[in-house]
Amino acid sequence: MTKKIYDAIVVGAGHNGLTAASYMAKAGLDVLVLEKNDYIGGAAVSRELFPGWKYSNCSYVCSLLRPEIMRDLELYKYGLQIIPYEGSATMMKNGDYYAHYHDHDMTVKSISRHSKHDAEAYDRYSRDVMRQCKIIKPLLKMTPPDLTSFKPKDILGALDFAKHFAAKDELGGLGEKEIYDTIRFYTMSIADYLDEYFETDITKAHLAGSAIIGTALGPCSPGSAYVLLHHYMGEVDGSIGSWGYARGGMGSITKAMGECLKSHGGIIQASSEVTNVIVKNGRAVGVATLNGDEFYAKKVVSNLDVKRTFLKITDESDLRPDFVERVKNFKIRGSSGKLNIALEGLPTFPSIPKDDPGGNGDLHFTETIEEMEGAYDDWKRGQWSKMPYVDMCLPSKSDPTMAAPGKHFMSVFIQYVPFELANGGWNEQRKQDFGNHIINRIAEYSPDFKDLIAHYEVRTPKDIHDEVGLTEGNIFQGELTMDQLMFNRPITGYAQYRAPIKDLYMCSSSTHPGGGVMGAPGANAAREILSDMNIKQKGNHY
Amino acid sequence: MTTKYDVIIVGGGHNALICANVLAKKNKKVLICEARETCGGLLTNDLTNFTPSFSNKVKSEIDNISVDHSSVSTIALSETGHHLKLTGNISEDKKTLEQLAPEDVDRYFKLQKKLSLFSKTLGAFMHSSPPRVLHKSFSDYFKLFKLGLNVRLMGKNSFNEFARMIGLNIADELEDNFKNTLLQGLISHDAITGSNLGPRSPGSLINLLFRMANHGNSLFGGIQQVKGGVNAVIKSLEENIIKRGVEIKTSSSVKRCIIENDQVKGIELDDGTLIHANTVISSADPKSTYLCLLGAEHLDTDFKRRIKHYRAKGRVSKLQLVLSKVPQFTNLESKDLSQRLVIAPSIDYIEENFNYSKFENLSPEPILELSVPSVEDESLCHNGNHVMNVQIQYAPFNVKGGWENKKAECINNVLITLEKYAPEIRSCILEQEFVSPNDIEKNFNVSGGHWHHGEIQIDQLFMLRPIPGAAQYKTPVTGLYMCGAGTHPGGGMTGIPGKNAAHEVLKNI
Repeated sequence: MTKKIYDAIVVGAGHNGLTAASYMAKAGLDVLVLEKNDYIGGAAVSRELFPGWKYSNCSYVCSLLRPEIMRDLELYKYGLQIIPYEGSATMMKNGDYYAHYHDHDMTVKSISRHSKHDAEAYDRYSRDVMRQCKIIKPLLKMTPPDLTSFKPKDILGALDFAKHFAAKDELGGLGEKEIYDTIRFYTMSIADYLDEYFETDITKAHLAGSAIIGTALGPCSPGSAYVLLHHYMGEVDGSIGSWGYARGGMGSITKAMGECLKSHGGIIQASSEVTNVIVKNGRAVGVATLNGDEFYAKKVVSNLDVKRTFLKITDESDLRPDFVERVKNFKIRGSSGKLNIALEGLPTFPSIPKDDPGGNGDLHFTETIEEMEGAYDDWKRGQWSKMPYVDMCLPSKSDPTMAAPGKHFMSVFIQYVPFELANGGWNEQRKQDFGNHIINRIAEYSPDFKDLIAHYEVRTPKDIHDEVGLTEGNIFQGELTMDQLMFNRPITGYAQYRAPIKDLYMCSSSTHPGGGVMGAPGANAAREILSDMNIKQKGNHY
Repeated sequence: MTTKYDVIIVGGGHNALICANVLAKKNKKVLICEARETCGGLLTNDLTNFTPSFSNKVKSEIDNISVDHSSVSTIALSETGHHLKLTGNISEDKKTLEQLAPEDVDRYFKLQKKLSLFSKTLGAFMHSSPPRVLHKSFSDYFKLFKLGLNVRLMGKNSFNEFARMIGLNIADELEDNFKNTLLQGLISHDAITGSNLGPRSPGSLINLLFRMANHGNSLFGGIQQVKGGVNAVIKSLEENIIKRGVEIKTSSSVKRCIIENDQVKGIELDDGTLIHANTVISSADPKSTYLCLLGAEHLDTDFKRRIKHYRAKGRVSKLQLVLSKVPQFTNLESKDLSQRLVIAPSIDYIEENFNYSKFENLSPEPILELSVPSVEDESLCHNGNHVMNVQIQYAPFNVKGGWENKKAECINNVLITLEKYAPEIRSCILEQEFVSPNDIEKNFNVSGGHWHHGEIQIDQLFMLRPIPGAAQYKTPVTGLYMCGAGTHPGGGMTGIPGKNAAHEVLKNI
């Protein structure tokens, strides 16, 4: 009996794995995706974890999903609908609130309630950050150049990459000042960057949140300004920097991807944990699963993070020791926690006026950079933040499919929470204590909140690590710092989706351009794999 | 008034003196105006114990400095008395580490080798003016290309490591490589000294590389003690340039630069004296230069905003103790006390200190670098008594409560910390003098009291220092230049800014 040889096997049905698989299937390849859980989606999932409520219990909002990928994989055809949300607000202890809106002018008016100076500076700030978004957009779908190679293809690639950093000034010409600004933006802390525009604490604190989500950096750490960019560079409906809810929760994204894959002949097999890559004569030829099955393919593509790929499912003896050491030193520290809450009704947040659209988006209560940095300092000591930064939202307000009428699902994302709690680690009691700590904090801004709680789920980085397969609970599958970005991601010299073992590839968020529900790593990897197989992709926008 | 001088240099710090030397060797008539009674600026026995030796490239451009110097080792103090002494000499250090940190010996020398290669490469960038991007000048493009090529020629693996390490924080690199916490603490200390970065801050590794580049590409070598202290270096520099006809006016504070038709015409002293020259070089820090010497009215709004945001808040305070006798340090001999002693027992200790300082708070357990130089050098005694100089890291410029109110608490924290290593220190103290960053700002005319004239962080280095587009020693005003630590390659007592600025000036006069 001849063993079936697939064209490609993808390990892990997270959104990047599904994206890579879909592009390959679309190009005519015979693709098999193996997933360890009994559900697909990785961290882009929404499941009914409590009867009557759907929880997007990991990722919760969408912005970064590349529009070209959505078009190429026809995700709208398979039911994906993204509802842009209208604003964001920070609730203040004094009963006031600070809000930003989808509409630029509304935002300026809102800021001027707090500070005329900052309202004026906001124009300049928006312009400068948008310029950075425009610069980085094309870089997301490029394979990072190999700067050490003198091959013409690589030198041209490097020049191409560099060319995109030669920002255009207002008149369309190449701007020297804009290049310096870009360098500064990539190397500064968000606190210092915001200091150059704004005066008031609340403005800075509200904006700085995007720079710390998912990171092991504080707002005062150099490099945090880049993380802000990482969160701003997405778009919804062509509007750069905006965010939205996926109707039906984040799982509808991966569900649509799964449907697309199947429509092109791809196969997804769940409850099939891959235990190792089968390597013969220095080539990856297939994988083995937990229950002893073996599957064979011309190409093996890992959607696991770089540590799990090379330290768990690959044998160290198939890799060079210095490469293994680099992988071991890859920084993937988790710093985020989550509370997913089923509510019997809509909680009142008295500081936000009832019909203000700012209340329909993400909600926060950190008012100063100092408090935010203090939250980071607690994490460095191995503790959860006494004064955490939260990113809360109620997707059910705009998406009726998440809960029954009148009832609501609330997602609370928390910075900072350590993977390993000091003095003994996580246990059930401590998880409870942490959960209560957050609930009490929220209750300070909403008098009826606690009474409305029907059920809640507490997730620490350890839970994310165990269930979702995100090592140490780092949501980006690797920190977004300069030493681990672009041509340094995941390992300098191995940033082009190819592993050191022939026919083994990486398509996960551990590769460029990094984490967030983007799909770009998967699409880039598929392009490289198909190129290696001399197969041309047709009819794609990506 | 006739133009007697080709160049006037504002400020008489070491960069100014070196700049003057290079210009004088080319027969330029130079005048230095220094506000204080003596030259030297921040390079004074009152603030600094040790210096690196000037590099060969600098030495070859100035006259011979005749000082008596000896190398100094660094001793990281441990509360248990197992102090770690590193000298920069490979075989000595190997023996020491084999005793105190046997698991880390090989990795230490591997890391030293790697960092040394990188600091050497960075060091090569230090001796010329940074290129301007897109300035359409062929020499700038060529410079950029050459820079890239030098880095690439380190070899593929080294290049990859270099690319990785530029933005890295020193804590991660050390925790990945070493087990010994004292060793980690000591190296982290050298990475953050004088800065506003913690060991876990991205960019702290670059700081260490700069320091190494200034110390002969060694981690703990290249640090020297001069007989008579650093004042002797200044004295020698002064004597040399006076011999060449350079005029030095001390106690002559410069009020402003005279500008006519966007061109420099000279300077005006505080007492109203006008002195004419077509070239003025400021060795003052960037903020003082642009906002005081030049004046905001000569700058466009954007430039003004950028210079206002140039980060230069000093974070080093100084405590000088006059002692009745040489204090007894646990497990240290008297002669060890003249070396460079560091109290920074671990990465976490340093990071905690950094946490306090971020929001202008004092730390109860400060990081200290100290020495009793008079043990080796009697000339440094104070009325026959020994003197201990202590540098305190992360002592914030705008300390909450103000320095007037916090001084006593800070000194007490220092003494409590010292007592852990020298239990009877308090009983030896005859006099004490505390210098905060505010005091340094006031007494030395340096904005923020920052001893590097501005943060050494990637976005304020190289072609971005002090302001992108004005990072080549020239200012937007014709005839006005800068030559202090606020220009490339920054601080560190190297004299390189002074030398580079002189070259830039010589191109134009």
